[in-house]
Amino acid sequence: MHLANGEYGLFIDGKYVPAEGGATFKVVDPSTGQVAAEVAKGSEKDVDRAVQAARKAFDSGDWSRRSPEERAQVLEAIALKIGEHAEELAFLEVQSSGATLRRVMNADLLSVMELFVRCARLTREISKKEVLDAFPLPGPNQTMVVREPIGVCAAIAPFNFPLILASWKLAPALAMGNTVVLKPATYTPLTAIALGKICQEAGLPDGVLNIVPGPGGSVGEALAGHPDVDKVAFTGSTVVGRRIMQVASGTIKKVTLELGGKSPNIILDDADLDIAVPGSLFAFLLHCGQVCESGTRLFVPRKMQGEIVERMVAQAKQLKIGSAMDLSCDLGPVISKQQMETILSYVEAGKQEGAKLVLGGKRCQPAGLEDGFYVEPTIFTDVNNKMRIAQEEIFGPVLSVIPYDTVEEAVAMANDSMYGLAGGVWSRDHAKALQVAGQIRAGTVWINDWHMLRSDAPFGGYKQSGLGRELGRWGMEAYTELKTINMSMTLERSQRGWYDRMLGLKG
Amino acid sequence: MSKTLLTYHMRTQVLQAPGASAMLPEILAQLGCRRAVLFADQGLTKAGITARVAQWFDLPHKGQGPQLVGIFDKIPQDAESSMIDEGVRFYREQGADGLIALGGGSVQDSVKCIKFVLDKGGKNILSLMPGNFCFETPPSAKPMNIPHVGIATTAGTGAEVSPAAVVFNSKDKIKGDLAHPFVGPDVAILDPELTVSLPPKLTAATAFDALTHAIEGIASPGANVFTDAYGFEAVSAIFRNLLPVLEKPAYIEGRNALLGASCVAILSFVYAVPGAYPVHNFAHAIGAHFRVHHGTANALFLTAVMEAMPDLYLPRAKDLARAMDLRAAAGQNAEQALAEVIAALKDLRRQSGLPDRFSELGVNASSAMEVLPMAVMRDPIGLIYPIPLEIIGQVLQNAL
Repeated sequence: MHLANGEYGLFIDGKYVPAEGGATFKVVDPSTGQVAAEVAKGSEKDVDRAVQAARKAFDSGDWSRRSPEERAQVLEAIALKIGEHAEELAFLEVQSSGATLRRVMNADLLSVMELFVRCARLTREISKKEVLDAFPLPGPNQTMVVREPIGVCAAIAPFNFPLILASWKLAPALAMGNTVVLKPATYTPLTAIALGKICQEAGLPDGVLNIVPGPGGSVGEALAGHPDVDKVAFTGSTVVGRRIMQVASGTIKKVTLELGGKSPNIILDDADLDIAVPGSLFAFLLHCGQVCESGTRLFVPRKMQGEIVERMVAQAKQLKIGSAMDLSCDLGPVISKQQMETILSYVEAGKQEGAKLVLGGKRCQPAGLEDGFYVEPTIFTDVNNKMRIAQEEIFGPVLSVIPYDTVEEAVAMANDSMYGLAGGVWSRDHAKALQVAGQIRAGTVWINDWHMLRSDAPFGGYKQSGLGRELGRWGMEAYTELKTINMSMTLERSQRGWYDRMLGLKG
Repeated sequence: MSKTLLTYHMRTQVLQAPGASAMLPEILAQLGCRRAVLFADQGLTKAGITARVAQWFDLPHKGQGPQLVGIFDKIPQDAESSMIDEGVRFYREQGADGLIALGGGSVQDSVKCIKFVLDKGGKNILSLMPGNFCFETPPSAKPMNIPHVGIATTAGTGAEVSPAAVVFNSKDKIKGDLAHPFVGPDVAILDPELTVSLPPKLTAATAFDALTHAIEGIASPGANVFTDAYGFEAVSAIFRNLLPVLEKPAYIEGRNALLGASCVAILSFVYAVPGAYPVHNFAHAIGAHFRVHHGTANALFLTAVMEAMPDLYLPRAKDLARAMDLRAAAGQNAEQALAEVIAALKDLRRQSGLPDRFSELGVNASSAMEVLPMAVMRDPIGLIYPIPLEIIGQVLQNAL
C-alpha cells in the first residue's frame, strides 16, 4: 500500500497508485499533533478512474453474478485476513483516529470481523428468490421476486470509527454483489487503504473495491454526482448529508445517510444509580463523545440532579487522559485542532447561555503531549433544552444535564430536537421503561444501557439523523434492487382473452 | 444406582432474572404462538400480578406481537380436575394457539393437564387417567406442539420445569399423578419480582416444599449425579436464603436464589428414578382429604418421616449436614448427623413460622388418625415405594 516514495497510494483496479498529478496530504496523529503519514490526495479525475474500474468490474459479472454462497466465502476469508492483520490495522487506526489502542484491540477489530461473517450469513439467507402464490388470473403464470445488486456504490466514511464505519458499508455492499468506491475521511484514511490489500489477498477480484482518499469537497462531491455511481452511502454530519442528497438527486441515486445526533438519555426516579451513573458517563464519553449516538442530553428528575451529578463528576475525575497508544489511558484525544477549538467554543456558548459548568471545559495538555488535541470531560448542569449546547451536535466530551419535573415533560423535551438517532432510559421497572422507549422518536433506544449495537439489528435515524438503515437484514436489502419476473405459463393465443377485452385485439 | 439405566431429559428452557417476565411476548412469538391464553388464580389477580404480566402484550405498542386473547384466573388451590376441563373449554372458545401458566404448582399443573387433554383431543382429564394415574413414555409419548410458557410465582413446587402433574380428583379425594416427558412448559420464566408480594407463610411453606423435593430426591434409591448436584445445592441455597427473605420480603437476590433452588429441587425429585417419596405420600393424602396446603403438609411430615424411617436417610445424613452447613456434624457418625439434620429442619420450620403439629393445621386429630392410614396406602405416589402400615402409624404419631 506504500508507493515507491513512501506515501500511501490510492487503490484502483487492484493496484496502489499515486494521485493524478502526484498530489498528497498529511495525516496527523491527534495524540501527539505530529505528522504520521503522507497520503495520495485524490481528485475528480481519480474518482472517475475509480468509478470506471468499479463499473467495468460490475458489468463483467465476475463478482455481481457469483452465487451468494461464493460471495459469502470471500467475505468469510476477508474476516480471517482482518484477524491476521489485526495488529497492523490497530496501530494505523489508533495513530490516525486517536481511538485508544485498548478499545481498538478489544472491540473494534472483533466487531469488524463479526460483521463480515454476519454479512456472509445474511447474504445466504436473504438472496433467495421468492416464488409467489400460483394466482391463475388473468392466465396461468409463475411470478418470482429476485434480489439483485444495485451496481457501483460510493461509500463515504467518517473519521470517528474509520474501520468499523467503512465496513458497515463495504461488507453488505460486497455481500450483495455490488462494486465499491470507498472514500475514507481525510483525517483517517490509513486503515481503509489497508483494506484494499486485505480484500485482494482474501480473493476479491480487482476493481470490485477501489479506494480514493481526498477532501470531501472534491472527492465526495464527485462521487455523489458521478453518473456511473448507482448508490451513495454516507456517514457524517447532517450538513454534509444534506449536500450529498442534493448532489445525488441529479441522477436519482439511491441514498443511505447516517447523520448526526443529540441523543436524549432519561434517568427515571426509580433507576438503579449504580448502573445509571457509569452508564450515562459511558454514553457520552466513549471516544471522547465523537460518536453519533452519544447520549449528550441527560434528563434527570429535578430532585435527583444533585446526587446524580455529584456521582458522575466523582467517577469522571478518575479517568486518565493521555496518548491513545498508552494502554493505561481511558480517554484519548479528539480528532483535530479544529475539532478541539469547536468543542471549546461550545463550552463558552454554554457558559454564556447560563448553564452551570461543574466539570472540565478546558483543553488538557498531558506532559510530553503538549501538541495533542485533548479536552477534559465536561458536564453542564441546569441546562435548558433550548440552549445551543442542548440542540447542536458538539461531537466532543460534553454533557448537558437537564432537570425535569414529570416524565411527560422529559419525553417532550427529549423529542424536541431536529435529531432522532438514539435515546435511552434507565429504570428498575421494565414496564415504565418500555412505555418511555415507545415514545422516544429515535431509531435505537436502550433500556438500562448505551452503545449496545448489534450487526443484525437495524441502525439509523428518525428526522434529520438520517435516511434508511444500516446493518442487519434491513441494511443488506438497502444494497439491492428488487425485480419481479412474471412468466406466463401458456403459449395458447386462446388463453389471452384479456388482450381482446382490454384492447380489442383480434389477431 | 450405578447399574440402573439413568434417563435425564430436562426439556424446558429456563430464563431467570429480575424483570424476565417482560420477555414473554417475544418468547411466545418464537414458539410460533399468535393467540395466547393466560391461566392464573384469584390471589395473583388480586395482588396485581396477572395485570402486570398481561401488560407486556401492549408494550411499547399494542398489536405488534402475539395477542393475549383470554385470561382464565379461576384455578383453585390444587389442580382440580373439573377446573382443568373448564380451562380446556375456555381455551377452545378463544381460538387460542398457546398457553401461559402464571402461578405456583396448582396453575402450572392445571395447564400441563389442559395441554395434555388438548393434545389428545379430549374433554375430560380424568377419563385420560384411569385409576388416577397416567405414565406415558417414548416412543408413544411425543411432543405436543402447543406453545407453552410457565411463569413461576412461588419458589416451591418447581412445577414450571417438571414433566409431571398432580391432579386433584375431588370425587375420589385422591391426588392423581400424570407423567409425560413433553407435558412441561417449553420455556419457564423465573422472575423474582413476581414473588415479592407472596405472604410470608406461603413463602415459607413453598420453600419447605422445595426442601422436601430435594431431600426426597437425595434419599431415593434412584439418586444420581444430576439429582445429587441439584438436591444438595437446593438444600444449601434454601438454608442460606429463606430466613433473610422472610425478614426482608423485597430482598430480590434472596428471592432469585430461592426460585433457582425450587427449580432444581424438583429436578432432583423427579429424575431420581426409582424414587422413594414417603413425605409426599403423606402430604398428598392429607391434602386430598383435608385440603391442607401442599407445602405446609410437606413441612410438617418431612421431619416426622425422617424420624420414623431413618434407614432411608442415614446413608446421606452426613452429606445433608454438610449442605446445611452443620459443621459440628462432620466428625460424627451417621445417626448423630441425622439427628442434627432433623433438629436443624425443625429449627428452620419454627423460625419460618410454620406449624410443627397436626393440631395447628385445623385438622381434627381423631378423624385424621381414622382416615389417613388408608388414604396414604391408596395414594398413587406410594405405588413406587409403599410404606408399611406400622410405619404409617408411627409417622402420624410423630406429627400429632
